[in-house]
Amino acid sequence: MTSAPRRTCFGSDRRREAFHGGAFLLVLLLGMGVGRTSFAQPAPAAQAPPAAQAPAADPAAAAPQPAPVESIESLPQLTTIPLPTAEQFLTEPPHDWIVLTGDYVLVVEPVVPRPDTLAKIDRAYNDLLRLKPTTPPEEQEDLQARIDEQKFLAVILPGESELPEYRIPIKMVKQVLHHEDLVLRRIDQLIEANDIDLAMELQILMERRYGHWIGVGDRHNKLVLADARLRLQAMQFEAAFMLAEELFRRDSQLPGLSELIESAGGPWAERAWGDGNIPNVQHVYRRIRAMRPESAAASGIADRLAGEARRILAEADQAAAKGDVQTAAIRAEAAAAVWPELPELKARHRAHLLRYPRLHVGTVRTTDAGGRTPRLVLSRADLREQSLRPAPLFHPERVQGGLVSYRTRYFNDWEPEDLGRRMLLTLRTHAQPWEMQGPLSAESCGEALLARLDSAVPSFDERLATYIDSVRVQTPYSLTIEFRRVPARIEPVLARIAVGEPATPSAEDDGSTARQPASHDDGAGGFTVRETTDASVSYRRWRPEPGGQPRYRTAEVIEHLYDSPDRVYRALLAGEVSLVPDLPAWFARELQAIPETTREFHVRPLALPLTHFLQFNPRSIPLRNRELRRALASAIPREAILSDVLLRGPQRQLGRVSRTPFPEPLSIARGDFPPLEYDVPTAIAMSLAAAHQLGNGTELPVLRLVAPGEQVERAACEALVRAWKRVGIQVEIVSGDGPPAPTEWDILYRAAVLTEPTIDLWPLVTASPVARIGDLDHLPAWLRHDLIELDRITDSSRANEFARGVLRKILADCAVIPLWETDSFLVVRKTVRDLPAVPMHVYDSLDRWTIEPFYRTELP
Amino acid sequence: MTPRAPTRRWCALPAMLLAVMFAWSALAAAQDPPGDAPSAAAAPAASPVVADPVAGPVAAPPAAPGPAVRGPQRAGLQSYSVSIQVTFSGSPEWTPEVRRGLLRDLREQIGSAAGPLWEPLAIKEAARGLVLSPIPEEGRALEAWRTALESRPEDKVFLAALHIAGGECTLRAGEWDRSSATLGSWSTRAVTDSRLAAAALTTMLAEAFRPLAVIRKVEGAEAELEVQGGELIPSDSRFLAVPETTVFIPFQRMLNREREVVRRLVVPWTYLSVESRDRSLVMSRIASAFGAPLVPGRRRTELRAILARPSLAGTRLRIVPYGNPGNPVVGARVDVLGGNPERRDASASASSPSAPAPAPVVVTTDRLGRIDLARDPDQTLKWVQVHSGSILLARVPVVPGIVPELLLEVPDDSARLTVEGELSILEGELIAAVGQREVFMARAKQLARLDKWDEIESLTNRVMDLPTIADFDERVEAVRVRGIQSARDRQDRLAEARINKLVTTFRNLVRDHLDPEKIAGFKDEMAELKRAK
Repeated sequence: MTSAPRRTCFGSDRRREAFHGGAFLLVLLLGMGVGRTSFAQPAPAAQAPPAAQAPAADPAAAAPQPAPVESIESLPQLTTIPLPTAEQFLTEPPHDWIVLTGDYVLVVEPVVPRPDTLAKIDRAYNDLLRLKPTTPPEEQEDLQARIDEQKFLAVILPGESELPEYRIPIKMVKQVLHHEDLVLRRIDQLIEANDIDLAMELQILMERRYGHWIGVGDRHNKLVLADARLRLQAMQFEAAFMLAEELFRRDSQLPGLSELIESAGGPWAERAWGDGNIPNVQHVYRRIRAMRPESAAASGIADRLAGEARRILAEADQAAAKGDVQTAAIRAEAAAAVWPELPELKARHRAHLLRYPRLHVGTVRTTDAGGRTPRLVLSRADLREQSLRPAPLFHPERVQGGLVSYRTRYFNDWEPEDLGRRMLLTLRTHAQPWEMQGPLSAESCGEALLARLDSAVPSFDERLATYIDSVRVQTPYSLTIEFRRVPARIEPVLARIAVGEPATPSAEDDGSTARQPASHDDGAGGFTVRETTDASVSYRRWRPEPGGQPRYRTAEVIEHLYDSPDRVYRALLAGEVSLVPDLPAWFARELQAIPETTREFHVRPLALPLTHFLQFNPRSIPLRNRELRRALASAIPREAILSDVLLRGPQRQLGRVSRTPFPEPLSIARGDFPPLEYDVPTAIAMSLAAAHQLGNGTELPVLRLVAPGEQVERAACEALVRAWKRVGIQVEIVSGDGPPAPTEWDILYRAAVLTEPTIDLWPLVTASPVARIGDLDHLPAWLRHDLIELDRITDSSRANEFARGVLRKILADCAVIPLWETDSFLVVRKTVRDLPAVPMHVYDSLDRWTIEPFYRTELP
Repeated sequence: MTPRAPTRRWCALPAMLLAVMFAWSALAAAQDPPGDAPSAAAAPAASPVVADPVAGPVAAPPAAPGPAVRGPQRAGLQSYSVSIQVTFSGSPEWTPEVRRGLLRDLREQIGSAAGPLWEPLAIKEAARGLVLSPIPEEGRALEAWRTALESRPEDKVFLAALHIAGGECTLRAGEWDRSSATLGSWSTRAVTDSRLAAAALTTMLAEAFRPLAVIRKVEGAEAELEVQGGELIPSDSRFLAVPETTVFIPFQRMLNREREVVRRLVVPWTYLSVESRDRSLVMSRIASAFGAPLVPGRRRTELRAILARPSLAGTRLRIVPYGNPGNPVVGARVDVLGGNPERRDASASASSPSAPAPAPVVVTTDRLGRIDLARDPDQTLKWVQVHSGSILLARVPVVPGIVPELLLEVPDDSARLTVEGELSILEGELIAAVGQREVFMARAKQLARLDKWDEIESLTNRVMDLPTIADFDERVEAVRVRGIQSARDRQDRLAEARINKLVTTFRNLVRDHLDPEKIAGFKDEMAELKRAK
């Protein structure tokens, strides 16, 4: 490290000496008048300043006027003058070396013409001579002057301006060593010294400044090759291979390249194999084959992968022979992942996967284990997991006439009697083999209902207990519900009642064998969590399909976790997953514009869009103030946030500003609700009024906004906070991801699908998942009265009309602030079939889906 | 599978047995004596015991004491004629010797403890084979025996039942009062040794005993009572006619020309809270939901009172609107106070402002319009206030623990609430309009300093476009008409008046805040500033 500056100093001194020597020599040469002609032509520079006027590069050297040098011997010789260091090349101006007769070297500013200076001057001299016979006499003098000009090499000494210029007779110049050649010489020396980094720095300099200089390109190849070899020595195979690819792009037939590819690719693949990273092995193979299809390394990798795939496939066959269809399917997928080019793979993979179809789902969020504890708000991953659980007594089927219609998996008939005061429910006695849930007995159904009528148990449903007076089991498959108060619609009320939650499978139960529901698992089913890792969660059908079916339906769902929607999409294209749910609206729009997407995938909108709205904590003292809520509502630039954050574009096909928390396809959202205007003056006025009423002068307390974990919603929350800050309302964001759920909060950002106005209106203003009288305490008496009255109405159409009126009051009271609604999509590969045309949720009727086996044959 | 239907399997048999027994024994009972003499039917027998418990009623029906006439006497000097009917279960442990011994012990203990207060006293075995069941069921059974009990001549009939199983003796006891024709609370106790049963039963009977009182005088919120037997001091303080702090339940007895009781009328939501006593004379404060619930001095009407003996864990209060019991008042705020809220307010402001009264317990009615009031030994009388928003619907006194459930009817406030909701929305718009106006004016004044008169004009126009008093009046009137119509449909004049008051208040609010002179002043100010520039 200390030698470099020393060398530099030394080099500078030597160059300075050469410069002064050159200056004195020029004076001498001009005096002698040597040249092609007998007399030296007076150079313009020589006429003006004598040698004493030659500027010195170093002021210290310029101060005392040096005495003229008597001879050329004072110049350094070519064998002794040191080559400038890399640092000098990088930092100092370029200089050429003029090698004079006797190998004396004069350092000058870069000469012209270049390159090949002497040959070009000679050619010019000869060309002028050939013009002499044809030149008119009156121009002869001028021509002669030009011919004489070519007898000298004009040079500028370092440190001087272009004038004065000195001339050296060509006859005295043995060789011109250009600056570029000197740099290349230094690069060669650095390569020999294995100083690749410095050499590359010089090389980059050369390519940037003198890219077309002869030898620059070759020097690059040489440098990269040397670098690759060094990396090979250091066992950096991937880096060496990348350098080989660079060389291949520059010169596919470069000598030594094939050896480099073999020696880098083979060990790299070997190392990946040792790490168990099969995709990486495939990746190496593909890259080797792209350069050298006949490569021995590539062939070795292919043979090894094929062997491994055959071994795994044999395991799959063995498992299938034992009846372990799940293991067989998993091993078949593993074999396809190892070597998709295996000839016998396709048929056997298909056989195993048809028997045990597995659905791979890509998502940016899965339900973590902690997420199964109570949360303030369920994430979309939580909701997906909920939809995999056993179906409730009724579940939404479609939207019809502005209302959600329901269907059931359990009942054949549910007939009201005695003007609706009594309902006879007749249960199905059998379930189809493909159904994820078995039949439900009247006793279990009755128990599920009674469990919600007992105020002593946590599942107590206050609203249901008001409706139902008694439950009577008539026969093993029929029961009667006596209503104390007839609900407007019974289906939405019973749609909240889940049945048949199976017991959690034990750790040693790998699900390899078909299981029949025990008597206590009456009606059990759904998909239960099989395995949870950092990268995925898998759910398995709790009630497996029996053997001997002509066609098998989805048996297992594996949700793979990715870090961004882009990565999910790449996984979809790569064949890692076949379904992508809950895509952001802007991303879905971009997907629809890609022809490959629509050719290979369905982009299906869900029946109901996602509505975004703000709820308030009933226990938040500041937000009991209506003026503050109104200030919050008026300060939100809905259009701008929708365009900038949620849609990322001005198009409104996939999202719109909403006037209610209910999605537009529902009739309640089509009422005459006044729009919530972005009105800064009102927001400021209201915030000042609120601050005054809260007794804080002009200061408002800092509010806490609970933001969901989803990226888009979180970004929207940040935009809201910025908007509120503009009108003087300070809000800080807290994560609603939990657990534990945040306890101290004021505002809750929710993105949800509310389906039933008569049921969902109450929890909307109480920020509670269930309707409890005690939660209404904070509300004004008139609103409390209206909500209670809504529960009492027995006529469906009147209930909806009344709900619309209550909603109008709730919105006027700013008890809830609707924001916008965005369409929800799922992208599914066309190999997944039998989905509902317009699904209500991501896994709608999952147990009916069939999946055509698929694996991507392209290597990564 | 029926969650609400209670089990009836074990209650029918004992109820029938007991009912048959009492009906049979009541055949010879005397008629209710004239109300003027509470114990007139019970002759001052030489001995307090009129039946041999050993012989028991099994062999022959008990001979009811014949009607006897006692001369007019101060109530404080009148004793209670008492009959105690003891029923043993069919357990083999109840041998004749044990039964005889227990009745003998009971007679001795009560005779010495109550002394002259309970004279005459008859203790006898009523029947066998009573299988005990939960108290509410006993209560229902007793209601079925009411006819038989009403024909009994004694002032008080105590019913006691004993059951023994697994070495534990379970006792139940209750009281029937002839004067008020009411059944008292039914209490239960268990002892581990049947030899302790007599002592325990004595205590239970003392606790079930509900003394009677004659309301002598009513002055304003105070009433003077004379407790029957108040001058007859028992040797055992448990049998004191009036405990230290207690509450009486007043009732009226309507008499015919022959001074026979035609009917009894309990004054609803009214109690007499004892404040002081001097032997048989008691001064009490009237706690009532009504202004003047007790009117003394009427002919053929007697004002009586009976001691309140809460023994249940609490009382469930069900609140419903008048004439619409199927639509209970749900989610209403109910304040439960320890004392009269009006007196509390007065005392808090006058006597001890530094020591505020305890805050009321605030509860909310459930989906069936119910609240549960727990019995409080320290504070027998509770006050219940039912609110609907800012309106007080009802304020009633309650003694929790006497009856399992009470029904409270309150005015239907839904019409007013609907109007209040509509006005609340208008109020929000009013506040927004006022706020916007202030912001626009302030902004215009700022702009005036910058000579931006175009923008000022735009702001002025926006101020002018804000809703005016007339706009609000029109909408308020629509709300008022709908509300008034709804109240009239229900013939609810109180609601009508309240709606009018709400609307008037809101209109005044609008006039206060949307004063057109303020806008005119603003325009003049702007014009002045423009001229000055």
